[in-house]
Amino acid sequence: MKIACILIGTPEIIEKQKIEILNFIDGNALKISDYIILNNDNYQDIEKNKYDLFLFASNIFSSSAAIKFSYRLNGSACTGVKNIIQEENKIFVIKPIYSNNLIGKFHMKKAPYCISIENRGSGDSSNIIAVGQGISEKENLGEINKLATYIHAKVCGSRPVIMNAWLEMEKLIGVSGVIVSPAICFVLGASGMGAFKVGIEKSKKIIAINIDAKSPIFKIADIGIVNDFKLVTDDLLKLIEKK
Amino acid sequence: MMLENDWVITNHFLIDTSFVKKIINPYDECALELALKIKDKNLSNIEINALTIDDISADRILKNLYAVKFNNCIRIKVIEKDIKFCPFTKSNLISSYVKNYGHEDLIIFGHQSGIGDSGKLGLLTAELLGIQCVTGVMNYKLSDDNKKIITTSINNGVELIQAVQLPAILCVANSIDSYLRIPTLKDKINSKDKEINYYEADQLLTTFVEEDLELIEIYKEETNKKCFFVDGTSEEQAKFLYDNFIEELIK
Repeated sequence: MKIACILIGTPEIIEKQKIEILNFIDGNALKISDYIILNNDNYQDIEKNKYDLFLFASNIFSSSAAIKFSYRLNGSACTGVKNIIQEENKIFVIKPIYSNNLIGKFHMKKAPYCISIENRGSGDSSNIIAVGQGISEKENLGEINKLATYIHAKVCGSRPVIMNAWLEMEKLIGVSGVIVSPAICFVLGASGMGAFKVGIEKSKKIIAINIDAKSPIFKIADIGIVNDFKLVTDDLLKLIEKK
Repeated sequence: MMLENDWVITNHFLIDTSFVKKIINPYDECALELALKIKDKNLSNIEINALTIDDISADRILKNLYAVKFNNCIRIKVIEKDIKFCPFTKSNLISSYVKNYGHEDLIIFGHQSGIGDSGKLGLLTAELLGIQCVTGVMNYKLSDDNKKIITTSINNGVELIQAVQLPAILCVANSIDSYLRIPTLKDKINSKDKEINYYEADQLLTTFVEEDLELIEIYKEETNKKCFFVDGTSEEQAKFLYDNFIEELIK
Protein backbone atom coordinates (compact mmCIF):
# COMPACT_ATOMS: atom_id res chain seq x y z
CA MET A 1 0.00 0.00 0.00
CA LYS A 2 1.40 3.37 -1.03
CA ILE A 3 0.86 5.90 1.74
CA ALA A 4 1.45 9.66 1.70
CA CYS A 5 1.40 11.83 4.74
CA ILE A 6 0.02 15.30 3.90
CA LEU A 7 1.27 18.18 6.05
CA ILE A 8 -0.27 21.66 6.03
CA GLY A 9 0.81 24.97 7.57
CA THR A 10 3.83 26.81 8.90
CA PRO A 11 7.15 24.92 9.52
CA GLU A 12 6.50 24.76 13.28
CA ILE A 13 2.99 23.36 12.81
CA ILE A 14 4.22 20.90 10.20
CA GLU A 15 6.80 19.49 12.61
CA LYS A 16 4.05 18.97 15.21
CA GLN A 17 1.87 17.21 12.62
CA LYS A 18 4.74 14.92 11.65
CA ILE A 19 5.29 13.88 15.27
CA GLU A 20 1.56 13.36 15.74
CA ILE A 21 1.35 11.10 12.68
CA LEU A 22 4.50 9.18 13.61
CA ASN A 23 3.01 8.48 17.05
CA PHE A 24 -0.19 7.32 15.35
CA ILE A 25 1.45 4.90 12.91
CA ASP A 26 3.50 3.49 15.77
CA GLY A 27 0.38 1.58 16.84
CA ASN A 28 -0.72 0.75 13.29
CA ALA A 29 1.15 -1.51 10.84
CA LEU A 30 1.56 1.28 8.29
CA LYS A 31 4.63 2.39 6.39
CA ILE A 32 4.64 5.92 5.01
CA SER A 33 6.08 6.26 1.48
CA ASP A 34 6.23 10.06 1.32
CA TYR A 35 5.80 13.12 3.48
CA ILE A 36 4.33 15.94 1.40
CA ILE A 37 3.93 19.55 2.45
CA LEU A 38 0.78 20.76 0.70
CA ASN A 39 1.09 24.07 -1.12
CA ASN A 40 -0.74 25.89 -3.89
CA ASP A 41 1.20 24.14 -6.67
CA ASN A 42 1.65 20.48 -5.82
CA TYR A 43 -1.90 19.09 -5.67
CA GLN A 44 -1.74 17.78 -9.26
CA ASP A 45 1.59 16.04 -8.63
CA ILE A 46 0.08 14.36 -5.59
CA GLU A 47 -2.88 13.23 -7.70
CA LYS A 48 -0.59 11.78 -10.39
CA ASN A 49 1.33 9.68 -7.87
CA LYS A 50 -1.64 7.38 -7.27
CA TYR A 51 -1.40 6.90 -3.54
CA ASP A 52 -3.69 4.35 -1.87
CA LEU A 53 -3.90 6.14 1.44
CA PHE A 54 -3.41 9.73 2.57
CA LEU A 55 -2.80 10.43 6.25
CA PHE A 56 -3.58 13.85 7.70
CA ALA A 57 -3.02 15.31 11.18
CA SER A 58 -5.88 15.90 13.61
CA ASN A 59 -6.37 19.67 13.39
CA ILE A 60 -9.40 21.19 11.66
CA PHE A 61 -7.58 22.33 8.51
CA SER A 62 -5.95 18.94 7.98
CA SER A 63 -9.27 17.15 8.53
CA SER A 64 -10.92 19.53 6.05
CA ALA A 65 -8.19 18.78 3.51
CA ALA A 66 -8.78 15.02 3.97
CA ILE A 67 -12.46 15.48 3.10
CA LYS A 68 -11.70 17.68 0.06
CA PHE A 69 -9.05 15.25 -1.18
CA SER A 70 -11.42 12.29 -1.00
CA TYR A 71 -14.20 14.15 -2.82
CA ARG A 72 -11.93 15.35 -5.62
CA LEU A 73 -10.14 11.99 -5.98
CA ASN A 74 -13.39 10.04 -5.70
CA GLY A 75 -12.16 8.15 -2.65
CA SER A 76 -13.35 7.83 0.96
CA ALA A 77 -12.68 10.07 3.94
CA CYS A 78 -12.84 9.62 7.67
CA THR A 79 -11.78 12.13 10.33
CA GLY A 80 -10.76 11.66 13.97
CA VAL A 81 -9.63 8.07 13.39
CA LYS A 82 -8.34 6.09 16.38
CA ASN A 83 -7.15 3.08 14.46
CA ILE A 84 -6.83 1.70 10.93
CA ILE A 85 -7.44 -2.00 10.29
CA GLN A 86 -6.56 -3.87 7.08
CA GLU A 87 -8.58 -7.08 6.63
CA GLU A 88 -8.91 -9.11 3.41
CA ASN A 89 -7.80 -6.19 1.23
CA LYS A 90 -10.35 -3.94 2.87
CA ILE A 91 -9.73 -0.87 5.00
CA PHE A 92 -11.67 -0.35 8.21
CA VAL A 93 -11.37 2.58 10.58
CA ILE A 94 -12.28 2.94 14.24
CA LYS A 95 -13.52 6.29 15.53
CA PRO A 96 -15.60 7.69 18.40
CA ILE A 97 -19.24 8.49 17.63
CA TYR A 98 -22.25 9.70 19.61
CA SER A 99 -20.19 12.46 21.29
CA ASN A 100 -17.50 9.98 22.29
CA ASN A 101 -19.91 7.78 24.19
CA LEU A 102 -19.56 4.93 21.69
CA ILE A 103 -17.06 3.62 19.18
CA GLY A 104 -17.89 2.95 15.51
CA LYS A 105 -16.16 0.65 13.06
CA PHE A 106 -16.52 1.85 9.45
CA HIS A 107 -15.68 0.20 6.16
CA MET A 108 -14.01 2.67 3.80
CA LYS A 109 -15.45 1.72 0.45
CA LYS A 110 -13.18 3.36 -2.10
CA ALA A 111 -9.49 4.16 -2.47
CA PRO A 112 -7.77 6.52 -2.08
CA TYR A 113 -8.51 6.44 1.64
CA CYS A 114 -8.15 9.91 3.15
CA ILE A 115 -7.81 9.69 6.89
CA SER A 116 -7.26 12.35 9.52
CA ILE A 117 -6.19 10.95 12.85
CA GLU A 118 -7.63 11.54 16.31
CA ASN A 119 -6.17 14.23 18.52
CA ARG A 120 -4.08 12.42 21.13
CA GLY A 121 -3.02 15.47 23.08
CA SER A 122 -0.21 17.94 23.22
CA GLY A 123 2.19 15.84 25.28
CA ASP A 124 2.36 18.67 27.84
CA SER A 125 2.62 16.87 31.18
CA SER A 126 1.88 19.80 33.52
CA ASN A 127 -0.67 18.94 36.17
CA ILE A 128 -4.18 20.19 35.44
CA ILE A 129 -7.16 21.49 37.35
CA ALA A 130 -10.11 21.01 35.00
CA VAL A 131 -13.25 22.86 36.01
CA GLY A 132 -16.83 22.38 34.87
CA GLN A 133 -20.04 24.34 35.06
CA GLY A 134 -20.50 22.95 38.59
CA ILE A 135 -18.14 25.61 39.91
CA SER A 136 -21.26 27.78 39.54
CA GLU A 137 -19.71 31.18 38.89
CA LYS A 138 -16.59 32.86 37.55
CA GLU A 139 -15.74 34.30 40.97
CA ASN A 140 -15.00 30.79 42.25
CA LEU A 141 -12.04 30.63 39.89
CA GLY A 142 -10.13 32.91 42.29
CA GLU A 143 -9.65 30.15 44.87
CA ILE A 144 -9.05 27.57 42.14
CA ASN A 145 -6.30 29.69 40.57
CA LYS A 146 -4.74 30.09 44.01
CA LEU A 147 -4.69 26.32 44.48
CA ALA A 148 -3.27 25.90 40.96
CA THR A 149 -0.41 28.27 41.79
CA TYR A 150 0.47 26.31 44.93
CA ILE A 151 0.53 22.95 43.15
CA HIS A 152 2.04 24.28 39.88
CA ALA A 153 -0.97 23.23 37.82
CA LYS A 154 -2.73 24.78 34.84
CA VAL A 155 -6.44 25.60 35.03
CA CYS A 156 -8.57 24.46 32.09
CA GLY A 157 -12.33 24.26 31.58
CA SER A 158 -15.11 22.26 30.01
CA ARG A 159 -17.07 23.66 27.08
CA PRO A 160 -19.80 25.41 29.18
CA VAL A 161 -17.10 27.18 31.21
CA ILE A 162 -15.42 28.48 28.05
CA MET A 163 -18.73 29.43 26.41
CA ASN A 164 -19.59 31.44 29.53
CA ALA A 165 -16.26 33.24 28.99
CA TRP A 166 -15.07 32.25 32.49
CA LEU A 167 -11.81 31.04 30.91
CA GLU A 168 -10.06 31.75 27.62
CA MET A 169 -10.75 29.67 24.51
CA GLU A 170 -7.29 28.07 24.47
CA LYS A 171 -8.11 26.54 27.87
CA LEU A 172 -10.99 24.50 26.46
CA ILE A 173 -10.50 20.87 27.36
CA GLY A 174 -12.13 18.08 25.39
CA VAL A 175 -12.72 16.81 21.91
CA SER A 176 -12.85 20.28 20.38
CA GLY A 177 -10.12 21.74 22.56
CA VAL A 178 -6.96 20.42 24.14
CA ILE A 179 -6.39 16.83 25.15
CA VAL A 180 -4.13 16.56 28.19
CA SER A 181 -2.09 13.75 29.67
CA PRO A 182 -0.76 15.02 33.01
CA ALA A 183 0.42 12.97 35.97
CA ILE A 184 -2.51 14.32 37.99
CA CYS A 185 -5.73 15.89 36.74
CA PHE A 186 -8.06 17.40 39.35
CA VAL A 187 -11.61 17.69 38.07
CA LEU A 188 -13.86 20.13 39.91
CA GLY A 189 -17.55 20.39 39.17
CA ALA A 190 -17.45 18.72 35.75
CA SER A 191 -19.87 15.92 35.03
CA GLY A 192 -17.50 14.05 32.73
CA MET A 193 -19.69 13.71 29.65
CA GLY A 194 -18.23 12.22 26.46
CA ALA A 195 -16.68 15.27 24.81
CA PHE A 196 -14.99 16.43 28.03
CA LYS A 197 -13.97 12.91 29.03
CA VAL A 198 -11.84 12.58 25.90
CA GLY A 199 -9.84 15.60 27.00
CA ILE A 200 -8.72 14.16 30.32
CA GLU A 201 -8.92 10.38 30.06
CA LYS A 202 -5.23 10.02 29.18
CA SER A 203 -4.24 11.52 32.56
CA LYS A 204 -2.29 9.11 34.74
CA LYS A 205 -4.43 9.90 37.78
CA ILE A 206 -7.82 11.60 37.84
CA ILE A 207 -9.07 13.08 41.11
CA ALA A 208 -12.69 14.19 40.84
CA ILE A 209 -14.74 16.31 43.21
CA ASN A 210 -18.42 16.49 42.39
CA ILE A 211 -21.51 16.94 44.50
CA ASP A 212 -23.44 14.32 42.50
CA ALA A 213 -22.44 10.76 43.44
CA LYS A 214 -23.95 9.47 40.18
CA SER A 215 -21.93 11.83 37.98
CA PRO A 216 -20.23 10.01 35.05
CA ILE A 217 -16.92 11.58 36.06
CA PHE A 218 -16.57 8.91 38.75
CA LYS A 219 -16.55 6.22 36.03
CA ILE A 220 -13.19 7.48 34.83
CA ALA A 221 -11.78 8.88 38.09
CA ASP A 222 -9.21 7.08 40.24
CA ILE A 223 -10.05 9.07 43.36
CA GLY A 224 -13.56 10.41 43.95
CA ILE A 225 -14.86 12.91 46.48
CA VAL A 226 -18.60 13.44 46.67
CA ASN A 227 -18.90 16.93 48.09
CA ASP A 228 -19.16 20.61 47.22
CA PHE A 229 -15.82 21.38 45.56
CA LYS A 230 -15.70 24.75 47.32
CA LEU A 231 -15.73 23.22 50.80
CA VAL A 232 -12.93 20.82 49.92
CA THR A 233 -10.73 23.37 48.12
CA ASP A 234 -11.19 25.90 50.96
CA ASP A 235 -10.05 23.30 53.48
CA LEU A 236 -7.21 22.28 51.21
CA LEU A 237 -6.02 25.89 50.90
CA LYS A 238 -6.17 26.27 54.69
CA LEU A 239 -3.98 23.17 55.07
CA ILE A 240 -1.48 24.38 52.46
CA GLU A 241 -1.26 27.87 53.94
CA LYS A 242 -0.88 26.50 57.49
CA LYS A 243 2.17 24.46 56.46
CA MET B 1 -28.30 13.88 29.35
CA MET B 2 -27.82 10.15 28.84
CA LEU B 3 -26.05 8.26 31.57
CA GLU B 4 -23.49 5.48 31.01
CA ASN B 5 -26.07 2.70 31.21
CA ASP B 6 -28.51 4.42 28.84
CA TRP B 7 -26.33 3.75 25.80
CA VAL B 8 -28.03 0.58 24.61
CA ILE B 9 -27.15 -0.60 21.11
CA THR B 10 -30.12 -2.24 19.39
CA ASN B 11 -30.34 -3.97 16.00
CA HIS B 12 -29.17 -2.08 12.93
CA PHE B 13 -26.91 0.11 15.08
CA LEU B 14 -29.78 2.21 16.40
CA ILE B 15 -29.38 3.91 19.75
CA ASP B 16 -32.63 4.66 21.49
CA THR B 17 -32.50 8.33 22.43
CA SER B 18 -36.25 8.90 22.22
CA PHE B 19 -36.55 9.33 26.00
CA VAL B 20 -34.10 12.24 25.99
CA LYS B 21 -35.24 15.76 25.19
CA LYS B 22 -33.67 16.85 21.91
CA ILE B 23 -31.29 19.81 22.08
CA ILE B 24 -29.23 21.67 19.49
CA ASN B 25 -25.63 20.49 19.38
CA PRO B 26 -23.11 23.12 20.62
CA TYR B 27 -21.57 23.83 17.21
CA ASP B 28 -24.98 24.33 15.59
CA GLU B 29 -25.95 26.54 18.51
CA CYS B 30 -22.87 28.71 17.83
CA ALA B 31 -23.79 28.85 14.13
CA LEU B 32 -27.38 29.87 14.88
CA GLU B 33 -26.41 32.59 17.36
CA LEU B 34 -23.75 34.00 15.02
CA ALA B 35 -26.38 34.17 12.27
CA LEU B 36 -28.66 36.12 14.60
CA LYS B 37 -25.81 38.49 15.51
CA ILE B 38 -25.19 39.30 11.84
CA LYS B 39 -28.91 40.00 11.46
CA ASP B 40 -28.78 42.29 14.52
CA LYS B 41 -26.14 44.40 12.79
CA ASN B 42 -27.83 44.58 9.37
CA LEU B 43 -31.43 44.45 10.48
CA SER B 44 -33.30 45.51 7.38
CA ASN B 45 -31.63 43.67 4.55
CA ILE B 46 -30.74 40.26 5.94
CA GLU B 47 -33.03 37.27 5.97
CA ILE B 48 -31.93 34.26 7.98
CA ASN B 49 -33.31 30.76 7.57
CA ALA B 50 -32.75 27.69 9.72
CA LEU B 51 -32.75 24.25 8.12
CA THR B 52 -32.61 20.78 9.61
CA ILE B 53 -32.97 17.24 8.30
CA ASP B 54 -34.87 15.35 10.92
CA ASP B 55 -38.14 13.85 12.07
CA ILE B 56 -41.05 15.63 13.76
CA SER B 57 -39.19 15.85 17.08
CA ALA B 58 -37.15 18.75 15.64
CA ASP B 59 -40.25 20.94 15.14
CA ARG B 60 -40.24 22.14 18.77
CA ILE B 61 -36.71 23.47 18.25
CA LEU B 62 -37.59 25.10 14.92
CA LYS B 63 -40.60 26.85 16.48
CA ASN B 64 -38.25 28.26 19.09
CA LEU B 65 -36.00 29.59 16.32
CA TYR B 66 -38.94 31.56 14.91
CA ALA B 67 -39.31 33.12 18.35
CA VAL B 68 -35.67 34.31 18.31
CA LYS B 69 -36.36 35.98 14.93
CA PHE B 70 -35.32 33.53 12.24
CA ASN B 71 -37.27 34.42 9.10
CA ASN B 72 -37.91 30.90 7.84
CA CYS B 73 -37.54 27.49 9.42
CA ILE B 74 -37.23 24.51 7.13
CA ARG B 75 -37.32 20.81 7.88
CA ILE B 76 -36.39 18.20 5.32
CA LYS B 77 -38.38 15.14 6.26
CA VAL B 78 -36.60 11.83 6.34
CA ILE B 79 -38.86 9.05 7.49
CA GLU B 80 -37.81 5.66 6.25
CA LYS B 81 -34.04 5.74 6.16
CA ASP B 82 -31.81 6.46 9.11
CA ILE B 83 -29.25 8.91 7.73
CA LYS B 84 -27.31 9.75 10.87
CA PHE B 85 -24.14 8.37 9.30
CA CYS B 86 -24.85 9.48 5.72
CA PRO B 87 -23.12 12.84 5.15
CA PHE B 88 -23.22 12.46 1.35
CA THR B 89 -27.01 12.01 1.40
CA LYS B 90 -27.45 14.97 3.75
CA SER B 91 -25.17 17.29 1.77
CA ASN B 92 -26.97 16.34 -1.45
CA LEU B 93 -30.31 17.16 0.21
CA ILE B 94 -29.03 20.52 1.44
CA SER B 95 -27.39 21.49 -1.85
CA SER B 96 -30.53 20.52 -3.76
CA TYR B 97 -32.63 22.68 -1.42
CA VAL B 98 -30.24 25.66 -1.82
CA LYS B 99 -30.07 25.31 -5.62
CA ASN B 100 -33.79 24.85 -6.20
CA TYR B 101 -35.54 26.72 -3.39
CA GLY B 102 -33.47 28.69 -0.88
CA HIS B 103 -30.78 30.38 -3.01
CA GLU B 104 -29.02 31.51 0.18
CA ASP B 105 -25.84 33.62 -0.23
CA LEU B 106 -24.24 32.38 2.94
CA ILE B 107 -24.67 28.90 4.41
CA ILE B 108 -23.47 28.33 7.94
CA PHE B 109 -22.91 24.87 9.39
CA GLY B 110 -21.90 23.75 12.84
CA HIS B 111 -18.47 22.15 12.56
CA GLN B 112 -19.69 18.65 13.36
CA SER B 113 -22.61 16.83 14.91
CA GLY B 114 -22.20 14.87 18.07
CA ILE B 115 -23.62 11.68 16.60
CA GLY B 116 -21.84 11.03 13.33
CA ASP B 117 -19.04 13.50 14.01
CA SER B 118 -17.96 13.33 10.36
CA GLY B 119 -17.13 17.02 9.95
CA LYS B 120 -18.00 16.54 6.27
CA LEU B 121 -21.32 18.22 5.68
CA GLY B 122 -20.20 21.80 5.01
CA LEU B 123 -17.27 20.78 2.84
CA LEU B 124 -19.28 18.32 0.75
CA THR B 125 -22.12 20.81 0.28
CA ALA B 126 -19.58 23.40 -0.88
CA GLU B 127 -18.12 20.92 -3.38
CA LEU B 128 -21.62 20.10 -4.68
CA LEU B 129 -22.54 23.78 -5.03
CA GLY B 130 -19.12 24.74 -6.40
CA ILE B 131 -18.54 27.46 -3.81
CA GLN B 132 -15.85 28.16 -1.22
CA CYS B 133 -15.95 26.73 2.28
CA VAL B 134 -14.10 28.05 5.33
CA THR B 135 -13.74 25.67 8.28
CA GLY B 136 -12.87 26.28 11.93
CA VAL B 137 -14.64 29.65 11.90
CA MET B 138 -14.84 31.40 15.27
CA ASN B 139 -16.38 34.65 14.14
CA TYR B 140 -17.30 36.52 10.98
CA LYS B 141 -18.71 39.76 9.64
CA LEU B 142 -19.95 41.05 6.32
CA SER B 143 -17.78 43.39 4.29
CA ASP B 144 -19.06 46.95 3.90
CA ASP B 145 -20.41 46.22 0.40
CA ASN B 146 -22.10 42.99 1.62
CA LYS B 147 -20.33 41.01 -1.13
CA LYS B 148 -17.74 39.27 1.00
CA ILE B 149 -17.68 37.53 4.32
CA ILE B 150 -14.67 38.15 6.55
CA THR B 151 -13.94 35.16 8.76
CA THR B 152 -11.70 34.56 11.75
CA SER B 153 -10.52 31.03 12.40
CA ILE B 154 -7.88 29.48 14.61
CA ASN B 155 -5.67 26.50 13.78
CA ASN B 156 -2.94 25.28 16.13
CA GLY B 157 -2.94 28.64 17.89
CA VAL B 158 -2.58 30.63 14.65
CA GLU B 159 -5.37 33.12 13.93
CA LEU B 160 -6.36 33.33 10.29
CA ILE B 161 -8.49 36.14 8.85
CA GLN B 162 -9.89 35.59 5.36
CA ALA B 163 -12.21 37.51 3.05
CA VAL B 164 -14.34 35.17 0.98
CA GLN B 165 -16.59 36.07 -1.95
CA LEU B 166 -20.26 35.23 -1.48
CA PRO B 167 -21.93 32.80 -1.96
CA ALA B 168 -19.90 30.79 0.51
CA ILE B 169 -20.14 28.19 3.24
CA LEU B 170 -18.80 28.58 6.77
CA CYS B 171 -18.32 25.79 9.28
CA VAL B 172 -18.41 27.25 12.77
CA ALA B 173 -16.26 25.63 15.44
CA ASN B 174 -15.68 27.20 18.84
CA SER B 175 -17.01 30.65 19.38
CA ILE B 176 -17.02 32.47 22.69
CA ASP B 177 -20.24 33.71 24.18
CA SER B 178 -22.41 32.07 21.57
CA TYR B 179 -25.20 30.38 23.47
CA LEU B 180 -28.41 30.69 21.51
CA ARG B 181 -30.44 33.57 22.94
CA ILE B 182 -33.63 32.80 24.85
CA PRO B 183 -36.87 34.18 23.37
CA THR B 184 -39.15 36.37 25.42
CA LEU B 185 -42.66 35.13 26.17
CA LYS B 186 -43.99 37.91 23.92
CA ASP B 187 -41.82 36.72 21.02
CA LYS B 188 -42.97 33.16 21.60
CA ILE B 189 -46.63 34.19 21.47
CA ASN B 190 -46.08 36.35 18.40
CA SER B 191 -44.35 33.58 16.49
CA LYS B 192 -46.56 30.66 17.50
CA ASP B 193 -48.55 30.64 14.27
CA LYS B 194 -45.55 30.72 11.95
CA GLU B 195 -45.48 27.60 9.84
CA ILE B 196 -42.43 25.40 9.38
CA ASN B 197 -41.65 24.83 5.69
CA TYR B 198 -41.43 21.13 4.96
CA TYR B 199 -39.67 19.39 2.09
CA GLU B 200 -39.76 15.68 1.38
CA ALA B 201 -36.37 14.04 0.85
CA ASP B 202 -37.73 12.43 -2.33
CA GLN B 203 -38.67 15.86 -3.64
CA LEU B 204 -35.06 17.04 -3.31
CA LEU B 205 -33.21 13.86 -4.21
CA THR B 206 -34.30 11.79 -7.14
CA THR B 207 -31.24 9.58 -7.48
CA PHE B 208 -29.53 7.24 -5.05
CA VAL B 209 -26.52 8.75 -3.30
CA GLU B 210 -23.66 6.42 -2.43
CA GLU B 211 -21.83 6.99 0.84
CA ASP B 212 -18.06 6.54 1.07
CA LEU B 213 -18.22 4.89 4.49
CA GLU B 214 -20.38 2.12 5.85
CA LEU B 215 -20.92 1.74 9.58
CA ILE B 216 -20.50 -1.95 10.35
CA GLU B 217 -20.21 -2.08 14.12
CA ILE B 218 -20.93 0.01 17.22
CA TYR B 219 -19.61 -0.83 20.65
CA LYS B 220 -18.87 0.68 24.03
CA GLU B 221 -15.28 1.05 25.09
CA GLU B 222 -15.12 -0.53 28.51
CA THR B 223 -12.86 0.89 31.18
CA ASN B 224 -11.61 -1.24 34.04
CA LYS B 225 -11.16 1.71 36.33
CA LYS B 226 -12.59 1.53 39.81
CA CYS B 227 -12.94 4.81 41.61
CA PHE B 228 -11.78 4.97 45.23
CA PHE B 229 -14.18 7.24 47.12
CA VAL B 230 -12.87 9.34 49.98
CA ASP B 231 -15.52 9.55 52.67
CA GLY B 232 -15.79 11.90 55.63
CA THR B 233 -16.14 15.62 56.15
CA SER B 234 -14.62 18.18 53.76
CA GLU B 235 -11.74 18.62 56.25
CA GLU B 236 -11.04 14.89 56.23
CA GLN B 237 -11.30 14.73 52.46
CA ALA B 238 -8.94 17.70 52.06
CA LYS B 239 -6.51 16.06 54.52
CA PHE B 240 -6.54 12.87 52.44
CA LEU B 241 -5.73 14.84 49.26
CA TYR B 242 -3.05 16.84 51.03
CA ASP B 243 -1.29 13.81 52.53
CA ASN B 244 -1.44 11.67 49.40
CA PHE B 245 -0.95 14.16 46.55
CA ILE B 246 -0.72 17.86 47.39
CA GLU B 247 2.19 17.79 49.83
CA GLU B 248 4.38 16.25 47.13
CA LEU B 249 3.24 18.77 44.52
CA ILE B 250 3.91 21.93 46.55
CA LYS B 251 7.52 20.99 47.31
